[in-house]
Amino acid sequence: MHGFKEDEAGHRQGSRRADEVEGDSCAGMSGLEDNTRLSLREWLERLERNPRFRENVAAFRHWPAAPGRYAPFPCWIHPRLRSVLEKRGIHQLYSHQGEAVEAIREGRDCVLVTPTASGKTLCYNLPVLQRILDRPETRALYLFPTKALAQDQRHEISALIGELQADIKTFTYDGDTPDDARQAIRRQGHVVVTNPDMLHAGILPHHTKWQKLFMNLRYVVIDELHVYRGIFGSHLANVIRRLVRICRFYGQDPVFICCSATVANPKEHAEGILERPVLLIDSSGAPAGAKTFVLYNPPIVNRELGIRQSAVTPARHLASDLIRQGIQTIVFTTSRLNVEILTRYLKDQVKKGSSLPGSDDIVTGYRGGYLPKLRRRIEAGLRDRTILGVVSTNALELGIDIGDLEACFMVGYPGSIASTWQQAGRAGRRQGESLAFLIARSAPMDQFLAENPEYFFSRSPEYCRINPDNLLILLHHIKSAAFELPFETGERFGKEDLAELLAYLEEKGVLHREGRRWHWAAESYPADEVSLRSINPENVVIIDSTDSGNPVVIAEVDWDSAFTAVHNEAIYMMESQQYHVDRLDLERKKAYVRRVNVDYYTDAMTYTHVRVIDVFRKKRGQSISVEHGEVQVVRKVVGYKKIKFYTSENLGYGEVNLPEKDMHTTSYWFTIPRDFLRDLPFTQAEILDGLSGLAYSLHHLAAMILMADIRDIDTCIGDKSGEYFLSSGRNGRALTSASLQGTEHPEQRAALRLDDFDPTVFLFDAYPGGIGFSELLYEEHDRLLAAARQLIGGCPCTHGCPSCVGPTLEVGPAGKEAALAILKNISHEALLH
Amino acid sequence: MNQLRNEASEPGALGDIEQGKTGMGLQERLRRLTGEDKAAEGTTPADRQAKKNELQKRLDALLLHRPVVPGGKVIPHRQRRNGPALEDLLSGCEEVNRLGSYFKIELRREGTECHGSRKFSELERLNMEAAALLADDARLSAFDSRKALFLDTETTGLSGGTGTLAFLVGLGWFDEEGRFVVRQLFARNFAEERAVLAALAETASSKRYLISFNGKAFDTNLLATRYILNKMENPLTALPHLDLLHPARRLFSHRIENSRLITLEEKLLGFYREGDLPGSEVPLRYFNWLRSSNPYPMLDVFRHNGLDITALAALTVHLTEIFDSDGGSPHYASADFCAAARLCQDRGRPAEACSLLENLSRSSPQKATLEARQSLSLIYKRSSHWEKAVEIWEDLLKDNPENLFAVEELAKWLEHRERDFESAFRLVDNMMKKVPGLPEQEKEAWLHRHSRLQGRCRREHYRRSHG
Repeated sequence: MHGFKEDEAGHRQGSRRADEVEGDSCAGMSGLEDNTRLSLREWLERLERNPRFRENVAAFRHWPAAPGRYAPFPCWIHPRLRSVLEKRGIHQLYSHQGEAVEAIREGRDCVLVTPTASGKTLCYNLPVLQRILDRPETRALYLFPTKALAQDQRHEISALIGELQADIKTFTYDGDTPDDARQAIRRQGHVVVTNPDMLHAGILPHHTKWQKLFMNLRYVVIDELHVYRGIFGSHLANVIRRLVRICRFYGQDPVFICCSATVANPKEHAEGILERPVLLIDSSGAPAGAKTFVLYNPPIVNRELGIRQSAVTPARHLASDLIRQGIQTIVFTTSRLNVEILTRYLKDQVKKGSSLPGSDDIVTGYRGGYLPKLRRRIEAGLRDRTILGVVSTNALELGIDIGDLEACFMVGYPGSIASTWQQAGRAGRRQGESLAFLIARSAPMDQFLAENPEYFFSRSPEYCRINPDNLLILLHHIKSAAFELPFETGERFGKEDLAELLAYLEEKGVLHREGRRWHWAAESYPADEVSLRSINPENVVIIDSTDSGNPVVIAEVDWDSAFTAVHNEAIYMMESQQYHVDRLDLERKKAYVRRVNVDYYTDAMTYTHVRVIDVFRKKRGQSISVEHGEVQVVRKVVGYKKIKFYTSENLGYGEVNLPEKDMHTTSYWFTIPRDFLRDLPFTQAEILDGLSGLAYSLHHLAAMILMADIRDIDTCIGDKSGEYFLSSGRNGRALTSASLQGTEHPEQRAALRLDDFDPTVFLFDAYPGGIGFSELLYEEHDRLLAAARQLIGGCPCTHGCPSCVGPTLEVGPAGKEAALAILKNISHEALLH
Repeated sequence: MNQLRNEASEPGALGDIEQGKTGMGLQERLRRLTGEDKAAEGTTPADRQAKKNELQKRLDALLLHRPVVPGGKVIPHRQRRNGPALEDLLSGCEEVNRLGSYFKIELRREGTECHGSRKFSELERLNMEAAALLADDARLSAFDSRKALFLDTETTGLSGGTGTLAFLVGLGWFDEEGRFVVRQLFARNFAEERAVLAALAETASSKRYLISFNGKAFDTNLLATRYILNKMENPLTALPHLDLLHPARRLFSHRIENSRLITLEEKLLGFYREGDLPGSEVPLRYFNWLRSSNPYPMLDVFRHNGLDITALAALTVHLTEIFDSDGGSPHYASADFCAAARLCQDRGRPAEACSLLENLSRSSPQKATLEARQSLSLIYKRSSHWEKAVEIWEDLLKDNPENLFAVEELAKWLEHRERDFESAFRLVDNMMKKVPGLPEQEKEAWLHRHSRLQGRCRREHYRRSHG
């Protein structure tokens, strides 16, 4: 959590400072002053000739167009279905579609991994509709991760059905479905389109009402499979276990059809979710247009602080120029706030000197908070090209149909290689020239890629990791499953010993054993107790009480973030407005805030210490020992710093009194022998700085390698016994003893020496019980360290910056040097890719 | 990446000294995850208990995210006791059918016995037309009261869904001797549910319709789920069903604050339960029974359910009899008859509505409210009994010359039926002079009517003088 805070703070500072120093270095880059419209190709050629642009290009790749490969319609296709497709101009299938429909027809479970707009939807709609035409009692269940996608897909299949003029009913079933419509959906829906949350809490616990569906369930479609990773994926795997169990009760064994964006392990991931062998179909037969990919690193504007020009600046110049050429462009940003800022910039710039009519409406934003109606209008506007520019969060990354765009800008690395290709795929979906343009920010991941473009282009995308047998997650779903049907001796659910877990739940009084069966024996409704998406379903509501007569809820933060974001006296920022937290009421889960206008922000100081409980695996790395196991993590917010905007001056400290949080999880760690640190030419304080700098970059790189959110993992420097840990507080970075924490023993504290223990760097799963990230880090130890060495060594800053070991002001002037010195002794200079 | 992974997992490549996961028990891991291991460190038993309670709370917070249901503690499983058996305390016995055993409790109430103000014998003369009307199901009128099956279940929860068990099925019916039988089918454990469901099916097969309170939304739904889960045919789907909740609400909500069965029982039947177990405590009693087999706490559950069944019978009498009563009945208020008439109207039965209101006006004109007379007049009007309608309107005007309803209806009648524009105009004109403060939304309509009548009078005049 601490690392994340730093990142957020760094980013905040970064963009502020960048605005301040923002030059016009890009303004003339395109050099367009006349009114001649350029084609994308001409525009690119001109850009390539621009020396200012070339200085900052990290990579410039071009892929030629590839022709399509086709397969005839299968012989079994219903003539009406065929004629509907032919009327839509589909006279044959792409080769992967042909492969998929045959496999599905044969009842094989499969996972489809082909690019955006390669016609994945037809791969499942065709066999599903065919089967319903053959046997009208057939039922299918479609799962999408969001309601919007579910709506989109239902419209798509409804349109097909409409043209078929068949009596086939499709419905979406989600939280918005009115009660009076639900009964009809349960009985009559041939294709029920829903989301995993609804399946978990609304359908499975009421499966008897869905008898008709389950008795005839032939197909289950899980689209956007790559979204289900980490905690969400671990939950979904358990929901599927429950679904399969219910289907078995009704004598059904449905065929599972999964679709995924390109990830490193689609087959393994699908098999992990479904727990059955799956056929991989990943060779796309769809034609691809010529594509150019540019990786651009904005120039450094302050070498001392390692500050680069804001990524927003080139994005707005280049994107507005393209839009003025009439080239349809999408801009992805990483925050909702940036969507609004960039949209305004682009609207202004496009209007300036534009000859296009109605130029105010040709650029728009698009993000989660927009109402569905508005979003539908924007999507339609993009399809019919009345909208030429859209600025979006990753909301448009998923399969919502917006037609073929020509250019795509990514303002900041989207966080994973898979997401990057997914976003890039929004431009040039089938044919014609297209451009994807990634602009790096100052964040370590972005800079690592800018320095190592080969890593990006040559490497397969990330792994999707799940851990369905995380004990807490598993336990939740065993309860839900027991509610749905009693367990019987000998039954299996997950890889842990089911009988022992059932015995545990009986001891807790929620199950009752009778002979061979375990019955649900509690009043509660267990599915309501779990949210599939978040770590802790509890939220803290933020209430703006500026106008005391009219308190307004302005936001929510999750339980864990509340401790650092809205503690008493904190400054909470939302949409550039500052709020002062008057009071955090943990009991009622409310934070009362007041609008203020101050020149500082607050940064919570936390201490984290980790104690090793159990070692699962152990190996020798380069002169260090590397381990994986179970740890106890204790975390406490002890105070906060007030930091002045722009200068980052420390304006003072405050105390925070919040309870400690205690968690058991899995961790990867490596321990550096103290003798070895003693020989380095640095003071103890400098070595501590070096270690924290190292942890900072490892944390960011680990998130990149794992395809995880940076909040999914956390880091700590301490000692395996849990006795000592590194804390940063009022007096700077210091070694602290866990047994002395809380009591003021300055003399004892001062006596703590690095010589007393062998420092250990922990990277652990930020979820109780662990989600499997740390195990992979253990396996990737060498590559992780080599990447850190390359990142820090290759960073052009002088004394550390947000791109490598963290901002100098936080990490200390010798931090970068010390981190590198440590790394040189504990890592190989290995090839990265 | 793959390459590196392979290298890393190759034994010895990096000097691996891998170990398997240490042999830690699952329970132990769970305890650690949930923080329970600390409890084991307590030394004295009291100490341990205190910590365990503390743990219980933390576990609840961690695992349940829900407040513990107040009002009871789950008895630990071990505390089984050798107390009396069920049959020692209840008039019941174990029954066996093809699907196993269950416990049957049976009580017979003589026809002369009462539930509050109602005798069971009154049920014999059940007005089946009225029952059909209340249920909005004409099939009921073909049966008699001996074909009724009263039904009420006790369950392990109210949240619905597949994890809720109906462990006690309370039934009631009339036997050949005119006695009211209350039979309770009790599943002493989960396994006995099948036998209970089979016994219910057997009883239901000799009956033709169901009577329940909120059974449409709850009991029969839940039982349908249970039949599916046990892969048995549901015997209740085909039966017509009179659910008393909605008709009771229709007839009496004007004077009763909520539609809970107990409230209706007190306010309508004058029956007050003493020491009745609140429904919310039922599940916990059963869970404790499962763990302890102590029958005493269950006695309250059987009693509660038995009372619900007899209350159903008495309430059925009360709800149907209103259609046969006149205003003089001590059981009903005059507004009850108006509500009953409205129900008849809504179900498309104006004749019944009319007779209800006529009875009311005839037997106790002083009690017949303004609303009743007005509704009655409208029924007459709709059925073209103009004379009777006009009589009521004129009476109403006599009682209160500013009765706008009567003025309007009379004016309409004069204008459209009698074509006596002159009188209609005088009536409206008079009223408008007398009643200055007409409500804003009505004023316009009155002004419109006034000027229209004025015009018609003028034209009429002209026609006559030039005719």
